[in-house]
Amino acid sequence: MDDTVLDGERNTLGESDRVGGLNLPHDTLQERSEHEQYSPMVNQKRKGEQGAAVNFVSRKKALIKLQLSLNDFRRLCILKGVYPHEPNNRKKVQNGSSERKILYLLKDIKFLAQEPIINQFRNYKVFLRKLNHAKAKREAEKYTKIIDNKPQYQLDRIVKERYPTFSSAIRELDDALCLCFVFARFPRTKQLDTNLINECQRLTAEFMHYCIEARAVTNTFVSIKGIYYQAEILGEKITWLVAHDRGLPVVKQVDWAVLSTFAEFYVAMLSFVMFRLYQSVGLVYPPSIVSGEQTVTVEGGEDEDDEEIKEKIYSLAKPLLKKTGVESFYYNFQIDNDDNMDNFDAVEAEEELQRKLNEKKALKVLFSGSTFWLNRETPKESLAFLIRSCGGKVGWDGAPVDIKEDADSITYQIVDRPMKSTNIGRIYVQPQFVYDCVNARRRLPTSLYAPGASLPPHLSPFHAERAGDYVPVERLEELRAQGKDVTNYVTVDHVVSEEKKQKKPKVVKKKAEGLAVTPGQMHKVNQQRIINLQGEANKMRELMIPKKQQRLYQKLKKGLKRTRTEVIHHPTFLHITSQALLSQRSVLVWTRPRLPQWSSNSTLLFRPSVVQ
Amino acid sequence: MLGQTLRVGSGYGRHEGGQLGTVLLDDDGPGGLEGCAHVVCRLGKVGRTAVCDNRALQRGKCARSLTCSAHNIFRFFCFPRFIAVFALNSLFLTGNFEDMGKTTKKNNWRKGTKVGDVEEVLAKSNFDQQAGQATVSARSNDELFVVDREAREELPDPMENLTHKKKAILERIMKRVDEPIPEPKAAAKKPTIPKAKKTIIKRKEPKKAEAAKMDLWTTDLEPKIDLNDADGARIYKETLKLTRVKQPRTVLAKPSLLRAVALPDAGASYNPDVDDYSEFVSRLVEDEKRVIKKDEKERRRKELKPGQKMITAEEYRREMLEGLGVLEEEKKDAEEEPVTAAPAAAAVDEPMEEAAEAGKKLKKANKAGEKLENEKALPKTKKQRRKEREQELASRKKSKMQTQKELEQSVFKVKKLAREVREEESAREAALKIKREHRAIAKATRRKRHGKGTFEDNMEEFLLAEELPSSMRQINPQGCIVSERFKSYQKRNMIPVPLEEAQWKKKGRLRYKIKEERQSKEVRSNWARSCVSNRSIRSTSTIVSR
Repeated sequence: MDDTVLDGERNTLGESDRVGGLNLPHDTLQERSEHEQYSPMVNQKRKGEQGAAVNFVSRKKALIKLQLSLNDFRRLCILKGVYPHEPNNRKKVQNGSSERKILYLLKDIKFLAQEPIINQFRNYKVFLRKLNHAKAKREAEKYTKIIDNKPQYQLDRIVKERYPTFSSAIRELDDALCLCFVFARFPRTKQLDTNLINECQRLTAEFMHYCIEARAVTNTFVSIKGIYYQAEILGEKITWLVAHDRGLPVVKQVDWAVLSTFAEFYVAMLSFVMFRLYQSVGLVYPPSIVSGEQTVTVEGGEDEDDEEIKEKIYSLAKPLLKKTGVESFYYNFQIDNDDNMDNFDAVEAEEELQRKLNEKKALKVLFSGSTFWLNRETPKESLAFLIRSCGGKVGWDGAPVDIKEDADSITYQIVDRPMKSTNIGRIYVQPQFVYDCVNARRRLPTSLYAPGASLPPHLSPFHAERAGDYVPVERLEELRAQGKDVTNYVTVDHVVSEEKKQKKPKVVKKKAEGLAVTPGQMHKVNQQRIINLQGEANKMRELMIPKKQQRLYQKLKKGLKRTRTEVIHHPTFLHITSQALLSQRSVLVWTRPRLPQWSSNSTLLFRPSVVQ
Repeated sequence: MLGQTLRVGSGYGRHEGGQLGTVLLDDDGPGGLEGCAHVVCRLGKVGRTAVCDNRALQRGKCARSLTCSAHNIFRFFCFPRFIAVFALNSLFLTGNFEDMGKTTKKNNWRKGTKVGDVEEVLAKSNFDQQAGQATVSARSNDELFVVDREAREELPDPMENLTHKKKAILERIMKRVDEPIPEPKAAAKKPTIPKAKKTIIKRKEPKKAEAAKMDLWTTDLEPKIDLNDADGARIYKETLKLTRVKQPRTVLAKPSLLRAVALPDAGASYNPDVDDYSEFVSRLVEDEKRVIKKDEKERRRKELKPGQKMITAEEYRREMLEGLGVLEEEKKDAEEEPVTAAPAAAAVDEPMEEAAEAGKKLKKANKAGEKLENEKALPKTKKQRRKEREQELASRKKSKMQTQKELEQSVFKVKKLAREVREEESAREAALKIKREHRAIAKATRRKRHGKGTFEDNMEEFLLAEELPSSMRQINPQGCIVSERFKSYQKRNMIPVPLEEAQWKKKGRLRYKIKEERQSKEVRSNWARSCVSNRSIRSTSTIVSR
């Protein structure tokens, strides 16, 4: 692995190491200027001795403080979840320089300093030295002895420290899964630790098994990049991306050391999460299957038999062994759609909730009772995962299950090439059928997905519908089938015109023949309208006044207005009016105009939501 | 080989500072060493040694007996002026070590040696040969070999004066000599030098990580200490550094609120809806256009504007020399010379001057007009001034009254005003809240600047309309999920952005590079050129012929 420095501090790094090596007790973080040491005014604080300048530490200084090499430091930071911080004002922190240094919080570094893993890092360095020595001297016995005592560290404590609760660990699954699925795809080469790749493969397979047993998958999307899955685990939506089953492209601009450290931590985290998740659904952990009459478990062996067993267990084709007494309760799901809809027709919110619940249940038993056969050239892992997590059974050529290709029990055969000979007893569909069915939460018409047919578009389930947005016709149909009110989603000109057409034919009232009594209507007088009419009439009459008298009229009007206001302001009048008006509430409003109330919680109590 | 003098190549030792020499016994010679299970090397009259220094030789004493196989390498410590004589019982191999150091003259290497003993032995051997006791095979083992049973205490340890390094080397040789002698397989086969055995060290498999065997969140990982013994507990804690700093809150805080996995665009589907796709692609196109526009702007910024030109060296020189008097002198010199270009310049200047004069005239005329107007305006009379003052006062009073009245009238508007204020306040508060939200979101999702490199996000992947696959089998995956992961960490401020990508490039890997020499290149290009010219000639000729 390349050990060069990640950023531009390459030149200064060697220097810092040297300084660190020579001056062990010298604590550079609490360096004091000479001036201060000898000045009589000890309490005087100078620039750069308080505030942000003290709270931040550059990486170089952190290395000196921790007495670690850059690689070890990077490793430690990733394992402990300590990330660099950016100050509001760089100049204040960096002694006037605006260079883009990598800064850490001093608190974080102090916290890192007490980490026992640091000792293990140092031990490892000694171990390597000893090993090299023995190797050079060709002392085989010593060599093996040293290797047997290789220093190792446990990450369990750190995992618990970073994720104090199980749910916090679940929330972080996105990242862990994505990286582990990436690592699981890597070829076993010298560059990466084979053990790490194996672990990633094991854990990802275990996770998929869990999703199958818990029926946790909610959404999936086949993009040009890879296949996205979304599962709901303990109320958290977990999204991850799995690459297509193709070779990896040439990877550029990636620091493998960094990635594998992340992977190392996530492997530790995932293994504990898996243990707990398996317990929660009543699965035996480590995962095992029943083959014939005996249970088979993976127990870290390397024999050929063990390899076979591993393949069997992690193939996703067979259900895992459950603890005694735990029934597979999902198979008993029934959609009680009709019964409940009658009960919940009153409250709309509850209806919505009920609809969602039903939808979930429907997804869990979407493929139950049907068996799928996967042909060559179909993405087996992905399809098996989805079908089984929706309750179906899967078989393919070479899968560790009893299903044969010509079995009558097979209901669907997934094909990605036009077939020569077909079996009448089953339905042939293209792989997209499975993905679309999962997203639609119902079995779509298979005729659309017949082999050779031009497929309907594969829509994204992550695209939330909002009124006014454009919604494709396929999705509308889907929504309609779910019993949703679609009118909001349809574009305005499209629907409104229809509605107008419908509204136009008015119901013509028929006149009652002969004698009839019809209920009369109360006549309400609109006062405002009368005033308006009067005003209009006045204006008309004003217009009719000849010009000579018009001026006089205006004067009169003005005079009237003036006198009216003056009278009001006359103290006696004011007294009278106030007396008169006090009976009305409105006066209170005048005397004490209500001030706009500053809400007590004017400070921002805002918790930003996760934004893409 | 009987009585033959074996000249030992001194080259073996020379590179090691003239101290250690290696002698290879070659048994290809007549008689050879076949059939000799052991070879006892004798030196001089008395001793049998393979290891000696010239002092021992001089004293005529042997240092130590040495048994070695014929296949082995004889190693010696050799010194300048050293002559070794090997006696294979009656056979004598005389190794003449050439002077390995400074002196190569015969006189010098004879200086400190006693050759008498050697000569004596040689003479004896000659005698033996003449007496018909020549062949080894004719003699019995007892005759051939001597079992040395006497302890020679008086002899000094030859190792005594050696350095540690030399001793180590010697010991290693001894060890090898003690090894059992392999049976010579075939007579014709050349003895091979056995290689030092490589210790094959099989690496033990590293311990495999096992599946978790506990529920992390229910087990207590804190080490248990007997708290009854307060002192013990304290010391235990101190020595094991179990007293811990409290975990700072910053450690648990997320550096960014961006999603770990960015949700895909609907248009990035492998079989997208037409509208989704066009929307997606047009967005990408817009982005690309923006980049192109930016580049174009940058290019234009660097370009010269019409009428501008790059400064020439001469112009630069002039600018620099301005005011130093150098230019004036040059000008004088130039004036002294006959002027030819001046009249032409004057001709060009004439129309310009005319235009300037016309402009001046026009200006003068304008000024005159202004003056006339000013003459017309007479000074104000006292009455006028008073009236103006009064008017001003009246208008001021009126406006004051007006404002006063409006103020008084506003009493009736209090309700409305209050409502307006309230509305304004609430609107402002709402706007502020939105602004704060936006700011907070921006702050929480912004990529911070850690490290000196510039962050470059992955290009968003897309397929052209004709590249879209018709089935899942034909998907051609786009983008790299590995680098996407890495960039995601950088985007979420978890790792800094390095300065250069070159740092990741593999070091120390040799690569073949085919480099064409300049000469051959030239030859080839010449050849190509000649070919082209020939062809053109040929083509022209054909045209002509037609």
